[in-house]
Amino acid sequence: SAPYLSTGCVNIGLIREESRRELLQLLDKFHGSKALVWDSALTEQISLIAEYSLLKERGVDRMFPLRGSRLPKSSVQHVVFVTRPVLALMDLIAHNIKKEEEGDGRKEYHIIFVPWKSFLCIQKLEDLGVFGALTHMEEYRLDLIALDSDILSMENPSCFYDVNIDEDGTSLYLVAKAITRIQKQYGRIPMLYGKGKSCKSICSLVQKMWIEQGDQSEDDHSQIDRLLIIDRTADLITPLVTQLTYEGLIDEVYGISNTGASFPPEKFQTSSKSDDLMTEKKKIILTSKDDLFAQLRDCNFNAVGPTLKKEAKSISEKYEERHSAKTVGEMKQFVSQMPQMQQAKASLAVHTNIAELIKEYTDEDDFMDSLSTQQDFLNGIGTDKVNPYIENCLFRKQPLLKVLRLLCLQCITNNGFKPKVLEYYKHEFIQTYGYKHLITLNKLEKCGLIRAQGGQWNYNTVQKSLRLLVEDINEKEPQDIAYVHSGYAPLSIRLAQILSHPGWRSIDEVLRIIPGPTVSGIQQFKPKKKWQGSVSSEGSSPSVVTLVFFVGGVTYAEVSALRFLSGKPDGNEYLVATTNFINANSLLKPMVET
Amino acid sequence: RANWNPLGQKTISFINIYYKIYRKCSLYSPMCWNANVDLSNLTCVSKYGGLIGKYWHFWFSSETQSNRNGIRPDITVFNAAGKEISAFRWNSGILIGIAWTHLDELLCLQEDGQVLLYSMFWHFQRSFTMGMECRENKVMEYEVFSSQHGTGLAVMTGLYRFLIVNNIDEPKVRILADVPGLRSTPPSSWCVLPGPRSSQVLAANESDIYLLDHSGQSTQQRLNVAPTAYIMMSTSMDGKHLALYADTGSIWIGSSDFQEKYCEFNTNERSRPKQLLWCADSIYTSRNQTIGPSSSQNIALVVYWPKTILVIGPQKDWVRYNVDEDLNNRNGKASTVLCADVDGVHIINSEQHEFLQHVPNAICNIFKVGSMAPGALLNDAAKEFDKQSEKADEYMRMLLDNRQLEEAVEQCILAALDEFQPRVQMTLMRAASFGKAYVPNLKLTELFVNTIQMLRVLNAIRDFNTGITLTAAQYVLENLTMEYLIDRLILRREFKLAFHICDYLKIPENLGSSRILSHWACFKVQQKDIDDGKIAQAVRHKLKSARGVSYANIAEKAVECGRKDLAIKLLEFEPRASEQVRLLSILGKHTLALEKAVASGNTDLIYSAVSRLRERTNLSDFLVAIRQQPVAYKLHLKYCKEQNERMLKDLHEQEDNFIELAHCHIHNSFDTFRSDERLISLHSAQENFSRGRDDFGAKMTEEQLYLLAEQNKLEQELDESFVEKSLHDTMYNLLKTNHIKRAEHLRKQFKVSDKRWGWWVRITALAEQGHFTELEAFSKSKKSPIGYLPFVEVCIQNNGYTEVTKYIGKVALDKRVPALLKIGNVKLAADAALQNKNLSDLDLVFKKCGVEHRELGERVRAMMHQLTK
Repeated sequence: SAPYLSTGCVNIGLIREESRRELLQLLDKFHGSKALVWDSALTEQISLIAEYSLLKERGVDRMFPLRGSRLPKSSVQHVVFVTRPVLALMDLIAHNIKKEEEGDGRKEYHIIFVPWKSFLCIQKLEDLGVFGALTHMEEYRLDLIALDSDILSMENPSCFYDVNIDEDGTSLYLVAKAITRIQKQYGRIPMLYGKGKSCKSICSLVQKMWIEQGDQSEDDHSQIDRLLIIDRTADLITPLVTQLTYEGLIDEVYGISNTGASFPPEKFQTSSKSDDLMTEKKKIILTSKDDLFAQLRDCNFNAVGPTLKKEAKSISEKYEERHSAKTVGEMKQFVSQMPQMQQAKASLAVHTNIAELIKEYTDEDDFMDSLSTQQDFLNGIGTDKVNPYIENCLFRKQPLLKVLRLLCLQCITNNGFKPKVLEYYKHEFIQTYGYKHLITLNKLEKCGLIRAQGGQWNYNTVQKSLRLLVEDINEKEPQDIAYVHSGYAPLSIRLAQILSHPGWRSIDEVLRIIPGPTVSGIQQFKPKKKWQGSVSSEGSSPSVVTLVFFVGGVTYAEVSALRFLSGKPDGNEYLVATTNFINANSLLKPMVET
Repeated sequence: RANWNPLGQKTISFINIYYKIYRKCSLYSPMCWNANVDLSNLTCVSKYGGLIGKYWHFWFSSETQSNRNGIRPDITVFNAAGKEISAFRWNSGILIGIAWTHLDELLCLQEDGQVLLYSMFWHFQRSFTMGMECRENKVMEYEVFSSQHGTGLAVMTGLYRFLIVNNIDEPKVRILADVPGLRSTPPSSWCVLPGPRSSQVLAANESDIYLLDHSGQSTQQRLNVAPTAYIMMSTSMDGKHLALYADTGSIWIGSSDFQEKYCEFNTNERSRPKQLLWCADSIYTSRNQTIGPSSSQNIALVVYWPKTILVIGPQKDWVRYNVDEDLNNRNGKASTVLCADVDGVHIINSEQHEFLQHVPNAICNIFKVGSMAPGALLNDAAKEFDKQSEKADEYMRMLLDNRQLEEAVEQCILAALDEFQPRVQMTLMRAASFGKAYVPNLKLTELFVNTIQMLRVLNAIRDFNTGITLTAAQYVLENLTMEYLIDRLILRREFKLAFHICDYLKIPENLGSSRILSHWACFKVQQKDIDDGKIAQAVRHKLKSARGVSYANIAEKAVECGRKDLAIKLLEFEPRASEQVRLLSILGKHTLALEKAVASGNTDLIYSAVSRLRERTNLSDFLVAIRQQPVAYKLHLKYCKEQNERMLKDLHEQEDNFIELAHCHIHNSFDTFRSDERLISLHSAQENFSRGRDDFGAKMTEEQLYLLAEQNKLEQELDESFVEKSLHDTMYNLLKTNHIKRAEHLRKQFKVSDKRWGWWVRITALAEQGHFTELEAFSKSKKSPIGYLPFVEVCIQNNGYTEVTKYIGKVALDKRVPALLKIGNVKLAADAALQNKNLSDLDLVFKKCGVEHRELGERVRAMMHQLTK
């Protein structure tokens, strides 16, 4: 189980519990021994729901990755394919079944679609002639995964691309479903807000689905007071700016997926076992289960060193206590704390190593140069001309994503390029990286990351009225969310902050400039006032819980900023739900033609 | 408020059997039907007992007014008060029996073994057959019984062979073993012995009794007595008890496994009784007990001959009732029908409907003559209080002194619950309320309130218009009964009553009012004389505020009745898009289905609608339809991109989407390895860019074509692969292999900027090859437009640390420090920093100084100190 999921203002663990129960129910449908054949994109996700030992208890004897080759031999009664509804994967499944049937025809075959059963896939299976061989076709509605006590993610990495490039609204429908599930679990949310392209349609879908469900009463206590939907297209600046929090940097450098990140093994070599060299990457799970990480994750990287030092000191002090322990009772108490202390020590070692790795990275010139270029753009310096550093990068054929990131940021802070500048960049880009990137550029233009001047958007006005640039940031004891980017406050989070206080009415004008429609408060129903029902013992009014749903992805820095706001004693708590986690690389990568 | 309608009016007669009291109380008298009604022909009364512990009781009677002589019989369905519910004419094969199933369906058995099931309003439900055996040899006799699985049917064919179906919902016919020793005569008697798993048949050949099961075994059961023949037999509803009627007039009463004989009773009546059945006690009224198997002590046997009913207890005690009937006049007083229920026996004739039951203990306690039970005392006290007599006080004191008042209140409440007559119920409840005032007890209050609610419901459904004679015992014990009751009312189309009951009991909408309204609507759409618009409006009006109603179900019903247009109208209100789309597709409204699918936002639904539209319409219609739905159109494009490129191009072509078309061609150019195909694709792309007025795209494509030509040329000349490389990479490769002239040529052709060409590409290529001398020469050839830091950088990157000093002097001051530090020259770096007086540079240097350059470090720190001042 995962008790750390239940420590937030709303018990996120319940979502995991339910997913777990659903999964086991599905598996129990197939009596007898089973082999699970996994779509590799799902293995990590499912392992967050149910560990292998649990699956084993339910008769899962073997696990194979879904490949084009023949399945390894096994004597199970059921072969269960666990797959996303992706047409290409149906070919693999069909191939597997056909090969298997040639050998031993006594097995039963089933498919579990995650997170939804697709008509097209079933049609495809029919076309491939294996539909008849399948006994069960189930749907496992894993629409939300609890990643931490305040984070729910759909772990749907293609959302932004699907919605903005393919104009395929599947992800939006799934978002509405996920919200409906949250409402089912924690009560109907009284107020809906949103900013950006898709928020309006999601709100209306959410309302429709509630009616469709039909049989629920709405006045039961809702644990969440309002929902704020932020479509990524409303704030494309934030993901392009380098994240400077500990967790954000880990994601920028090594990439976090499903709460885990892989690091180069050399750093984690333990001296005692130096004989056998670790060759595989060291995978580390990063959740608030690890106390030290919970402290570090939201810190600006400049504050990580001091925190680690403090922790080291406190651990050694605790070790020293053994000298002061005189009586048997004191000794006993000391010994009983040993496991925790050892764990803390191990965790300290891990994070010291990671911090060193990150430090090396951030000390590099390229990192510093890129960062200062970003700062210039955010400050509106030289955005209207061809930027020498970007030009430099192009001529040196620096990594494509690094160049694109800067290019997009310059474009958005300049409210679009002058036609000449735009054409120059595009031309140089193609000369460096090749003709095929004509399509890459076209996709970027399609979703507005690169464009010519024009339109309502005005970075300068938005930046000024929302106070996105904050000077004199104290990175160690931050006073404002801008600490997550050392001076730039994420636009999305500023919107959430203003919604809580003093309300969006104060920024009407700005909201009009930010792209996409605005939902400034749909009242789903009138909630009973919380404090009438239960008087809390301290006599303070209960906090207002806002669920912020990011459609198209959220960065770790944004989550940290929201946590910072939750930590303020003004009675506002935030909960994050998202389609997926992103950074500049993962946002831009799908658009790059390969 | 539920009506407090008077039910039976006759006084109760108590009769002692051993220590138990039975009563026969009148439920309905007179009956609603014509006094001439003939109950003698094929009459069945519904009885309920079935699923474990969910005992039910309420019933109908029906009659057929004809016989087997080929005339079509009429079947009439009445409620328990004799009110006609429906009537219809039988028009299938030769009917030999009718019976009610546990779901209130009318089971009609034909002579050829065909079984047809109808609703009480004569809607055909389903049918099954008892098999070849029956078709060939005809069904002679049958028995419908209730088992744990539901309703079962056993038949005896002309060859005296038994066939049995344990559950008519899964009609699996089993053939039972033959009765041993039978020749040309039928068994002298038989009956079904319901069992927990499968039911068996007991059959008597003269005095030999056999248990027949479906594994082909027959077991002879041995009894000590030996009459010449057993001419009638009967098992209790739970299959535990058995009565055998011998031709001598004596009855053997015992357990059905023949292990125990309760008694042997001689009636001295040699004629075969008309009916032989069991009357179970209302033991189920002992509320805190769980239902156990009935024992020999709480059942009685009921034997009915014309004019006489005899009740026999297990201890040989008996009671005799006379039945008022004239046997000779077929048109006058007709015969009586008895029907066993779970806690009593219904007795019905043309004049009245009575219920024979063991008097529930609660009532017994209060009304038994001279009873000193607390409930009796409280009842008396309340009566005296009404008369303003001081005796009231006396009784109350007795109860209070003995601390029996709570018990008394409870007894009165429970007795009221078991009582059929509202007048008596009221008296008892008033007594309870009187007593309750003295004992503040929450539990009692709750019981009191619940009981009143329950009585109101019971009295309402017992009203002769509805005629459901549910007893409280059956109602109280089961939590599920309310839902069943609502179901029964719905089946009878008593929508209004059901609705009011749900409203009164505050039953959740999905179980109560919404469900009722849906059924009402399904009934409504069958009224063919009302036009579609009006029905749709009426349904919407009534169901608007009901939650969880499936309009799709109602629409489906309308489709069944052949009312397509009505169905489409109704589907407008259906909130579940998937249902909407599914039905609209069935109705052939593919375009509308697509529209609804798009509105739902459910991609999967849209795909299925698109696919169905594609299958059912020709291509041009399809394209017209899908163009009107941009969302669906985009999804279809995405699908085509993956699966059907030809279609994709057609779609773009149709929409004049030239740029997308150009992209398709670009993709094609990548997919092929043949240079001629590649050129063709790129030419098409260029053409489409021009058509779409994308000058940049056209220009880039033109350049690409040119580059390709150059690259092809180079490949031939240099035997090296260039195709698919960018211009930058091509030039770089050429430089690396010292084909400087060729590179220069490309540079000119493509107007590559000076900075890119001259400096970045060249110096990188030079440094990478380690041509540092050439690099130096190059640096001196012309003033660098990109400064000299790049020279330092490329040297460092290619391990030319010693080379750095050649350029460092040309590097701008502020950029020197980091470069120097990078090659590890702290000393020079410190000099530069000190000269430069830049704080951040100094800081960088200071950090690198360490122990090795302590002195330097001091100087740097001093400078920093000075600067910060």
